[in-house]
Amino acid sequence: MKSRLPYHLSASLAVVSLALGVNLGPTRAEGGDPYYAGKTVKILVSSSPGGGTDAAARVVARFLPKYIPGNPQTIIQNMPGGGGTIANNYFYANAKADGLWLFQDSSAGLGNFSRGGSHINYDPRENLAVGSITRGGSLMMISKAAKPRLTDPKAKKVVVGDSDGIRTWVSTLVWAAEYLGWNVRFVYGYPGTQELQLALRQGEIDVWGTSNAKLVRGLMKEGKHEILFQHEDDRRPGFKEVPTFVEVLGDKKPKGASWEAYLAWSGPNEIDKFLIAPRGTPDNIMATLRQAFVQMAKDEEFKQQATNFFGDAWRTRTGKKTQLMIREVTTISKEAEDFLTKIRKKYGLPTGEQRR
Amino acid sequence: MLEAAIEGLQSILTPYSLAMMSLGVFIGSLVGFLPGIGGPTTLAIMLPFVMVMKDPVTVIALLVGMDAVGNTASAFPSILISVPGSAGSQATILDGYPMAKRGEAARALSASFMASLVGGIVGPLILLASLPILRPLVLAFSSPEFFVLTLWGLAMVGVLSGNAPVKGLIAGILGVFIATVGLDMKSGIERFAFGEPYLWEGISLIIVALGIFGVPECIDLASRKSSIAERHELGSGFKEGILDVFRNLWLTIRSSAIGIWVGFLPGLGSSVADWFAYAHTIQTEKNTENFGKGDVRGVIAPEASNNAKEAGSYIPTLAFGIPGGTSTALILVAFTAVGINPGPDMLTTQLNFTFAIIWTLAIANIIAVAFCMAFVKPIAKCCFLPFYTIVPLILVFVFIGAFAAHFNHYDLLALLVFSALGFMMRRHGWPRAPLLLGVVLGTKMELYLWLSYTRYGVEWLLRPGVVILFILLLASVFYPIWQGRRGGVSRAAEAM
Amino acid sequence: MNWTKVERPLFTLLIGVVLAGAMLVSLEWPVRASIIILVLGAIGSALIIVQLVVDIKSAGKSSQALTMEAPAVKTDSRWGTLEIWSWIAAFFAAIHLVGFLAAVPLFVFSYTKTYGGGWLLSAALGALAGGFVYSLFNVLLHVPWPTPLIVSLIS
Repeated sequence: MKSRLPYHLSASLAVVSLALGVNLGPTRAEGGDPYYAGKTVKILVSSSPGGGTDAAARVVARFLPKYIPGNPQTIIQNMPGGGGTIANNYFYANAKADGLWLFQDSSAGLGNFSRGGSHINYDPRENLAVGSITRGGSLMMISKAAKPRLTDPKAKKVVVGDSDGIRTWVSTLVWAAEYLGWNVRFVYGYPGTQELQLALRQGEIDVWGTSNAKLVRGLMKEGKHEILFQHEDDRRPGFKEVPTFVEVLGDKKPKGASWEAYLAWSGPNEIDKFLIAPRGTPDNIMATLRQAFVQMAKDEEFKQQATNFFGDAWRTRTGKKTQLMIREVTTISKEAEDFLTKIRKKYGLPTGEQRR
Repeated sequence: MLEAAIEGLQSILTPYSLAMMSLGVFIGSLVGFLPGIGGPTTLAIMLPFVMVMKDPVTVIALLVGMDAVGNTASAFPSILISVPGSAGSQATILDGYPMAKRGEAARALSASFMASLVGGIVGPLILLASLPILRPLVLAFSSPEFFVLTLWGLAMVGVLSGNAPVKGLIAGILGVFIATVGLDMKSGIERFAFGEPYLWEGISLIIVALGIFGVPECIDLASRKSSIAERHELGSGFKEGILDVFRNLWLTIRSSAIGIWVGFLPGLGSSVADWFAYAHTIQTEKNTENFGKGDVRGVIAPEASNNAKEAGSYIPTLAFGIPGGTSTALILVAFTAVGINPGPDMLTTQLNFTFAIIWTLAIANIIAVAFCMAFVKPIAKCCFLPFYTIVPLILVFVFIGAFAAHFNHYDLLALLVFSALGFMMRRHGWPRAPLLLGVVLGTKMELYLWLSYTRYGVEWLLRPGVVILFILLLASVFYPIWQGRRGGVSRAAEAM
Repeated sequence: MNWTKVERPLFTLLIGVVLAGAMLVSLEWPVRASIIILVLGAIGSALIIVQLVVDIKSAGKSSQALTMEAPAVKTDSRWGTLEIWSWIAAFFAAIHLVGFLAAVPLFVFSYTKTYGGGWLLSAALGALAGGFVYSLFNVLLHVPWPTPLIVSLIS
């Protein structure tokens, strides 16, 4: 995403987290100073301050050190741009494997990798995952006024809005258009979530997806929109009445390269916000970090704050599980890749170059 | 409603809240003073500290207080050393620095702070008055309307070019070109980045501003080998500046209204308000021949608007929980963490918090202005310091400000490039403000045109909002010309 | 020879070259990305030609005073601006070579000392600037400094 932030914040902010001292937690290794004592962990964030990825990083920065022996300080550095590409490239090229460099990325970084292009100079499969926070699958919202047009091919097309046309949830609507004949078109280029929310309320766009249950509930209160379906394997708690996309597809669900392409595009969504360490980080350090992540997930205060930010459907995943999933969603056959490019072109979405 | 207003005021007026607000104001002022280190950076530093606080009102007092005054103290560097202290104080340089050179730094500063005070109070008042119509107000502006607004902004290139319209237009176009550097979302390609990751995010506006305005003036100073002020007396400028604001009260209020307006349009960004107000001043005021050479009205207008703007940027926040800018985005993170629920609830169950915000905006501005006023006389004296003490400090200031953009060596290289450009432009009589305006508005214009076209085809041209704004735009461009001609005619008639 | 006479149209030409170069580069992009460059670039190029004619015609006259800005820099000595430019370049190089934390006090001290400041004043200002940078960037912001060239050469 090309973010043109107001002035001084054009990119990076380095930030000292309060994690210093205030959260002096219970874990101090016995005998000798633990590795992390007196050290500072830098957490790079692939988005600008204020978004979901940033929020995830800030919550982690606050609570993770509590469970790392030695209670290190944390600094957050935001490096937005290119849908996470800039931060990913930077981290891949510069991060030292000493356990003091971590990276908070989101699914967009995996999607960009799968689509490839000359500016992708990183390989997410080599990084080591510490853990991930999933906010639950995206909820697709549609304005009630536009809904009847969805299945009426003679009506004006229903407008789907996105920032760059590559969000993982966009895949569902592309496949719905292809296999269910939905009457949609895509308008992208919106600078961010804020503008998209506004555009949805103004009726400039009719459909928009987000994982943020809080945002969705706010919109529902206003009464002009409803949830079309959810982009999730199983129905989210709290949204039990909303069908999943696969349920909506029903027997129209394609097979072969088409479905593989769909999974490659939409799969990363499930990983959502993940925290990684650079390749080569020593095993003992990885074990410490991963364990701290698991312990953090059980912290009552952490749970409270995560709910404040992400709504009630969030959950965490261990580092090892996250690692496996990253590998899974970034491995794609040539055939499926070509299909992906073809279908994206067909619906007027930017394609980028092919990875060789 | 009244109950909530009083409850909000009471919660803010406790000694603890006031102390937190003063702390926020102090930090905000300090940050405004430093170029490059802006509100968002500071908010990001403070976030972890406030996320553990228990009382939402304290968080409001601290953060909103800090954010509200970020554009007040920034007038110090803008006026004294021609270095923009924050996004909102770029236009202040145009008349503020010439005043300082004339030995009228104290007057320029006190006028600027007084204008900030008026803007800081008018802003929340308008915000208050617009509470019932917040939602339709925000919804009235879609991409096509935003596009016309950016065009309106770019039309100001003409106003800001003075008597060099051709050079001004070229500079504006160059500015738009500079803004296009980086990854382009609508095509997924990189423009003018030449494979260099540094350029992907585009060129930081602060670096352009520092290079274009800060360094050339510093070079001038170092070559003159004297102090900034050519005359060595502080005079009665301090009082004069305060009076200036009252003499131009109507202008001050108009500029505040412009600030509010720009602030609540989330698509325009924070660095436009001062330019809109400055151009508006030139277009509507009489006797404009001294603008750019040290007319106090050129200080009052941008400073009133940039403080009022902060209140405006809370309009979308309060109406829908949508932040109006990066600062408000970070404040929303803090609000969420302490249990305030930004969005529709702000106008119903959490109305007392809404009022706490509005009160804080007003009170923080009063504290900040009192604080800055106390420092006007001592700080203004830096204009009389010999160049060899002030030049190296300005350069360090500028280099730090540029480096803070990405903490990268390329930041400094970019600074040098734009310094050379600014220097050459100044040397050969090219107006520099249009270039900055082009950078600020260029890609926004492109983006909203793209969205308007892909969404509406050519139908967007007929939207009522577009038509009305377009008529207003034409009026604002041609009214001064028409007035000038009429003036000419009547003068000719008198001569006969 | 009056150097400004030549320099003014050259500067205009330089901007014209930049605009033209940008248009050339943008030809390879999809239309949606290049159209803004091509349209504005065409207008800009036409204006550049107008400006060039004006520059050459008015050559010899001193630069017309801008109504919107302070008058252009007038230096007493021929080397007036070159001198400060060298200082700026040296500062830039020093930051690269020894890093910000060392370059800042060094630069402030030597500049002040060279142009007439006393030892005490120069040292105090240098320390002030250095201390400020240190406390802001190191203590408060924990900035990851780029490695100074000299350090990477040694190690």
